Amino acid sequence: MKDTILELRGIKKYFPIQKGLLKRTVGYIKAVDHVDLFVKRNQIVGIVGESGCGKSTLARCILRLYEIDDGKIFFNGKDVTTLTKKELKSYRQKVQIVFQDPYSSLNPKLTIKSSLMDGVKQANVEKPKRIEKISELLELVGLPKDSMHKYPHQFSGGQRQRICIARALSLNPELIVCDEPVSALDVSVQAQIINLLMELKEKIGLSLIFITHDLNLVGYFCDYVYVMYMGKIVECAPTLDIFKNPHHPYTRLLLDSIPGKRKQRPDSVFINKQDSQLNTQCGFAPRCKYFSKKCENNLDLREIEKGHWVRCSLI
Amino acid sequence: MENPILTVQDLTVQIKNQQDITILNNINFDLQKGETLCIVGESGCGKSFTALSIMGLLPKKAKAYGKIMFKGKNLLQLSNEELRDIRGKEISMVFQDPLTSLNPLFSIYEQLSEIFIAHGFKNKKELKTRCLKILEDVKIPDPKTKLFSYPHELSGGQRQRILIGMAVALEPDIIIADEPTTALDVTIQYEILSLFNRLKRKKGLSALYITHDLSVVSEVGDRVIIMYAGTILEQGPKESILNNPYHPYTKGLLNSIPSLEKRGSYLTPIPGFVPSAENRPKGCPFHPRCLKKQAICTKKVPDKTFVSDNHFVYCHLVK
Amino acid sequence: MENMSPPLYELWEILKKNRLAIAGLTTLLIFFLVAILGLFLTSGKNPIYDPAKVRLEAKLLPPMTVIHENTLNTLNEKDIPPFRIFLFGTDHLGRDVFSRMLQGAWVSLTVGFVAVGISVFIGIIIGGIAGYYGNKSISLDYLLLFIILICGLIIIYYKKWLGTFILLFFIVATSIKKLFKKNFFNFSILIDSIIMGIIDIMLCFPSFFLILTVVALLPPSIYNIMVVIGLTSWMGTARFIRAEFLSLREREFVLAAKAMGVSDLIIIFKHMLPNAITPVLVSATIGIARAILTEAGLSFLGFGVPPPHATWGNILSEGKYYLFDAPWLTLIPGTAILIVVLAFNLFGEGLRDALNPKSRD
Ligand SMILES: Nc1ncnc2c1ncn2[C@@H]1O[C@H](COP(=O)(O)OP(=O)(O)O)[C@@H](O)[C@H]1O
Ligand SMILES: Nc1ncnc2c1ncn2[C@@H]1O[C@H](COP(=O)(O)OP(=O)(O)O)[C@@H](O)[C@H]1O
Ligand code: SF4
Ligand SMILES: [Mg+2]
Ligand SMILES: [Mg+2]
Repeated sequence: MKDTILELRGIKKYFPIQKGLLKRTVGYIKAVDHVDLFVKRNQIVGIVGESGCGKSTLARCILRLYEIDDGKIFFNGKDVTTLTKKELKSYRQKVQIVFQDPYSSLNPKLTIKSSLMDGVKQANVEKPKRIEKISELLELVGLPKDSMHKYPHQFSGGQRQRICIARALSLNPELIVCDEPVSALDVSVQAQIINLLMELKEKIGLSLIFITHDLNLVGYFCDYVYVMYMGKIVECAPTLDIFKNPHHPYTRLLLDSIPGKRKQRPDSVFINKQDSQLNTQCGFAPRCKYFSKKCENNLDLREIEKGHWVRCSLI
Repeated sequence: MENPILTVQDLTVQIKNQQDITILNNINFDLQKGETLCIVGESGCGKSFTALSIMGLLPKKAKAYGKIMFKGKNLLQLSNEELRDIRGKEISMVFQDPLTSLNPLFSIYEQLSEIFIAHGFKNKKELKTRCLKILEDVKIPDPKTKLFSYPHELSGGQRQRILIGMAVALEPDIIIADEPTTALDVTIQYEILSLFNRLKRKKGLSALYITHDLSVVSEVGDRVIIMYAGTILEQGPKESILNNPYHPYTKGLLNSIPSLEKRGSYLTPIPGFVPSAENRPKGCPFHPRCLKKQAICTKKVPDKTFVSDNHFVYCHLVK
Repeated sequence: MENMSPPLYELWEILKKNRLAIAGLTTLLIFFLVAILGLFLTSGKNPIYDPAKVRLEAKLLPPMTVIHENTLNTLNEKDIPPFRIFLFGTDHLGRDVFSRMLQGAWVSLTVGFVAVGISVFIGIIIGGIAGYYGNKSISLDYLLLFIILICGLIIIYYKKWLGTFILLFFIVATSIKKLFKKNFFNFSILIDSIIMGIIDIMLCFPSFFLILTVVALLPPSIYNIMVVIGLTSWMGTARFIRAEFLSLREREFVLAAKAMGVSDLIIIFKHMLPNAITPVLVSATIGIARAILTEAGLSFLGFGVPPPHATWGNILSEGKYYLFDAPWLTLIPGTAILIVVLAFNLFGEGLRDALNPKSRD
């Protein structure tokens, strides 16, 4: 059994909805709602879900870019939720992030060299070795050395994403959180980046959290999948399990929606119209055809097989 | 091949700047009555420009050459007034972004009724029933209240449904959909695709479906055009293109799509990246990224080669 | 997709096509040269062009008056300007208007640049704090302490003993707070709200009259004017910077830097400021024009740089009594102000258009 590198316990992040002149809080967007998540060393963990379900927010909570409202983050068994600024620095060397939009991920006013320099400095590389380290990094992600003197606008989207990966690698991290790193790229370039990530995983022994809405990608290279819906994990299982044996109605809908691969046509959605009147804990209820009285109870994740958890009253 | 409703011949589009940039280069295709033709290609290959040339909505700087024949008329030579009559009524279009395609200041009813009024429809009472009918057609839940709501009160999928409803409202002959599902989630994408198919069949439309995603093609298309850098590289029936592609680019695209079945092995991506419109190569437009290129590929544009009676390829390898 | 400002060379390409902006820029370059030359020519013990030399026998001479043997032969040889010509004529004291305009050019230039420099500096700091730390709140205790500190520092400049007393009180209050380790007022305010409130209040004052009041209280000097103009015109910059920072703060490259543990100062100065500075540049260019105008206005009203030092404003002001006898005394400085202000505005507008991503195609 591989050891756990990252462990999230009941992570909660609510954004207040403010209204009026006085900015009174009238409610909360439950962007991330009591999420538990585990990443084993040298594993690729996928998080899928539709846009707005809280994937990016969760990624930023893991990086401690957002203050979490509740819950604990353990990294290599150590609680990193209550770190001081200094300790946080060393945590951040070990966990890095790659963002979705390759166009706003790089400072347009800086050369690639000075963009990468930040990380190299943080990693305490000695001064004379820094340039060397930068060219090593660029080589690692498959870019020529002399690209360090260019500006971001001289690169295509795929190349920029490579630079972002190089920047993340500059701190020698153990875990990289990839927030939809290929969603904005052309299909032909997407495969290049995916191959690069796989290669890095094998070469350096990286662990990855891979956020995406593309189930084909999940099926292709994740080891374990979390399905998220409205801030909650609704199902999680090893990839093959989830593809063979999906339980949550949302997971099934997702799998049935993969174009070209449909065995069975998904049912039309929004069956239960008055969603505001549904008294239930389940966020998916308005779209669920199995909705029944049972769904009104408190729903927890339940283990149905070893390592396969589902949050649904059908189980 | 007997009954094309739309024929595009030698369509070339250039942008007039200090130096002319050729966006589309000699595009030829025809759309048969009742079929769905998919145009597939990566971003920047000129898919939207093809659609806009047909609609007569090209930006001012762009100049189109060639012929686009529709019902005996060349669309490229029509005046603005004549085009306006055709738009919406005979050819209509759905755009990629459902967020910006609806005016946030007007209710759904105002925007729906506008198309009827624009084409000379006045009876107020019937206007409302017609608009309701559209919402029912595209399966918006609770259409009576949704009719008077504003765009921001609807989800992205619902907005795209309404836009599709608008496009088919006047029962046009042709509907052009420019990446209608790219901005939407997979589950919503499926709904939109099946809605599109259903309406198309029900109203007997011909459709031009533009997408960058080959896997979507299996859901909607009859025939497929593979475009790259402003030219057509391969064209043929859907099954033939998906299962038996000839062009290295089409093969590369198919190989780039990850899936559960390919687990455990590396993908075989296409090296390099899509060239910008200004720096397109000579010879075969794909040669800088082609793994099988030969000397001739850098010099001569390949000829059209038929591999079966309705499937052809532009590649020097295929003889 | 990328609505960042274009790189410099592209900026120049776009700017080149804008004739008015280029005309403005050319005028400005000439103005700089003249002002700098003017500084050298009119200062020192025995300046080549002496703006303060009074020649009572040569009062109110019209422009282009050439000194021959037979005219003005009473004039002392030392008092004759270079090339024996009063290019712009003389004023009611027989001072050479050309020399005075030269000296005034330097004043206008420095007032414009120093005042705007001060205002941009304050604007960047205050706007930056509001944009970067704005969502943090500050407890009323700290806010009060901060206000006491600022008041103390200002008052110590005028009344030593009162200032010292207030600063002492500050130190005592701080130590008491440190000792008790708790907030006395259980109330905190968003930093952003405080700063935006201050900006709104500052914008409510009609700034010219605010400046007039302050200048009337202070001893007249060119430095006071610069400082006062600077202190009353930073609000625009602060708002720009705040807005830019608010959007940059969410940009991925800033988040990435944060995620790498890069310190706040480096993030602000390396990643955010260079990307936020361009709109400020535009408003600063136009701000210089406004500062020059304000200074001229103050001098005209007699609150500006004290005579005998010449500025365009006080040349204009003194000339107004001779409007009909010697119209050049008002026309020349008036035109100069008009041209320079117009040039700054045209160049600023051109820069704004060139920086606008929509003008790139
Ligand atoms: N800074 C923020 N302030 C308020 N609401 C936010 C903020 N960031 C995200 N949200 C909300 O939280 C929810 C989850 O967003 P996000 O994590 O970006 O979703 P995803 O990445 O899955 O598309 C959305 O409803 C979004 O509107
Ligand atoms: N004003 C313009 N000047 C130069 N090139 C342009 C201009 N507008 C669009 N293009 C180019 O036209 C090409 C085709 O664009 P488009 O039809 O929108 O592609 P697609 O829809 O396939 O993504 C792109 O490569 C784009 O860079
Ligand atoms: S023509 Fe040549 S370069 Fe082009 S696709 Fe065929 S083999 Fe490749
Ligand atoms: Mg996201
Ligand atoms: Mg397009």
